[in-house]
Amino acid sequence: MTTDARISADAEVLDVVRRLITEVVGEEYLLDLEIGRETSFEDDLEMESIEFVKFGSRLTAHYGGGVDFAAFLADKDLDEIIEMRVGTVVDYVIAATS
Amino acid sequence: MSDVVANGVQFHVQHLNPPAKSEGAAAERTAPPVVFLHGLGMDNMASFYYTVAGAVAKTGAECVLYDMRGHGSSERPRTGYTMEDSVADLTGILDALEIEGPVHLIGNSYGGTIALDFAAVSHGRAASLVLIEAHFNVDGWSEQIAAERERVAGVVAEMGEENLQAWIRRFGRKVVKMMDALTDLANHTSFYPDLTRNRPIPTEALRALTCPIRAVYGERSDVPDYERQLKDLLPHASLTVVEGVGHSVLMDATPQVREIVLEWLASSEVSRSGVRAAQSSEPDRG
Repeated sequence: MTTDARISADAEVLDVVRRLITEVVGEEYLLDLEIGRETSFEDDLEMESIEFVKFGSRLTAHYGGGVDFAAFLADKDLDEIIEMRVGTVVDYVIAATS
Repeated sequence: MSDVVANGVQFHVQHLNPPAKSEGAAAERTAPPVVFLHGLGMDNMASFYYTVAGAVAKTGAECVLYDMRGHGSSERPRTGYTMEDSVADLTGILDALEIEGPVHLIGNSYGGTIALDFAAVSHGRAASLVLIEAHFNVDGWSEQIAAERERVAGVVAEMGEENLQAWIRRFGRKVVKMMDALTDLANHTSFYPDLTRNRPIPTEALRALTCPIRAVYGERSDVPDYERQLKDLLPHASLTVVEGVGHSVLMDATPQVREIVLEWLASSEVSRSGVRAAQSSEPDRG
């Protein structure tokens, strides 16, 4: 992938991730928050564990079975899941779909 | 699929590796699905999703996780929290997913209690059970719940409802949302009254269970008398006691529990039992 293509794939996936987070968490809560690669699901978004599960299943529904959120999490321990940032999910989606 | 209506209630369900099926035909399964049952109150399917279910799904097994009524992202109706309701919900969800044959059940705490009751009443629909810190729905269990209810009510009374609400609201959105849901469940539904009038499962029904059973408890478990209950009611169950942890063994000793569940599902005893249960449940379904 060229650098330009990489940047555009990154922005595209980030847009989808932003939209799915907003659907799960609700727009009213996110008004003052700009979601970027460094945004933390736990500390910044204060996502409940069950919301994170729903977000993941929407991600799989959007991209198809290649983006297997359950399998993605299966390789991580609880601390890694709790500390996860948006960029980690974006990178995973790009890797899984390319 | 993430929402299933069963017993008139909307359930949040995660169905991993669902079987392929062609239009109008029943799905063909080569092995029983693995169903995960979480605990009561603060718990929901995420505790299994983050710990064991992903690893099981990675082996290719079909997995079903759902939030019990009143929990997680499932609907929180005002009534329907007895054990009979919980077993009917499980049955209804399996029916909605067109899972007619046997299933492996992995239950944590009250989820294990549901698994046992389901196995006892469902005539062969349980291929095997993993009971993690499960309580036993036998004489004395309702009294334990009533005592826990009293204890919580005592803490709330001491603090004062208003102070408690003010204290909760100092935390972020996540804690407030979780506590609001829990308060509604505990105070404005039939949750506690239903649980405290649970009808105990006849001990003969538990003793008659023949499916393979694996039990996992924490060294500091707060489930009273579980070793004696296992010996008395489920003598063929194999028990692992995990050192250094208590009731939250699933969260505090995740790697061990994950390993136990993976080994269990891969063992020949359990896979044979799945085949046997499938064969014996066929005539019932015509």
